[in-house]
Amino acid sequence: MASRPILDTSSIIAYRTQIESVIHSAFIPSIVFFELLATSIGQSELKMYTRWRSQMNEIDQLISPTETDFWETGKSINRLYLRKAAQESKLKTLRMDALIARLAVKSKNFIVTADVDDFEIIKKDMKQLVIVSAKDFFS
Amino acid sequence: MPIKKIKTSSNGTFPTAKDFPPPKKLTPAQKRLRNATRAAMKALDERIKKYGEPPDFRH
Repeated sequence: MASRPILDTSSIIAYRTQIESVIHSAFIPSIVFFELLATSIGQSELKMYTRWRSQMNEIDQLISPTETDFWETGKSINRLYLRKAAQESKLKTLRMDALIARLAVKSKNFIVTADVDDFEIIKKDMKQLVIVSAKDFFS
Repeated sequence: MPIKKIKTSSNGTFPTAKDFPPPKKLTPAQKRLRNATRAAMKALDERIKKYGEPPDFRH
């Protein structure tokens, strides 16, 4: 069984008031910071994400995909595409989530997400992926 | 931090946040992380109250 939570962007947004309680154990993918940064408004918000990212990095809980992770994730998405596991338009939206899923499988940790359905599609190829609903995790 | 093994029951019970209690004594780095997390989540909350939830930029 996977050992520590990996938080995706949807869980952080939906359960933002509870993230602090688990942050000492959780991993956050750099992809999440990319998504938060890309949609931030104003210098204050940006400054807070910058500081948070720096502190996550300092204690080695910021995780990032390697070139191999991109390659293997591309192969996973390709298998889903060839098997018609989901519509092409849906598969396009799963690229970032698939990278997060790859990080979880590789590190033997589990994903906490509010978008369980999306990760269930990815799990059709990444059988070892462990998905925990953010609603259940933070209940 | 040592990795904590969480068992999954046969009926599919998964871990919850309660399975990951904060350390009794935080290191200086953990205190900085806690404070940075609190500030970031406050900024996110204020942004959502003012402008709504961030758009999904995965697409």
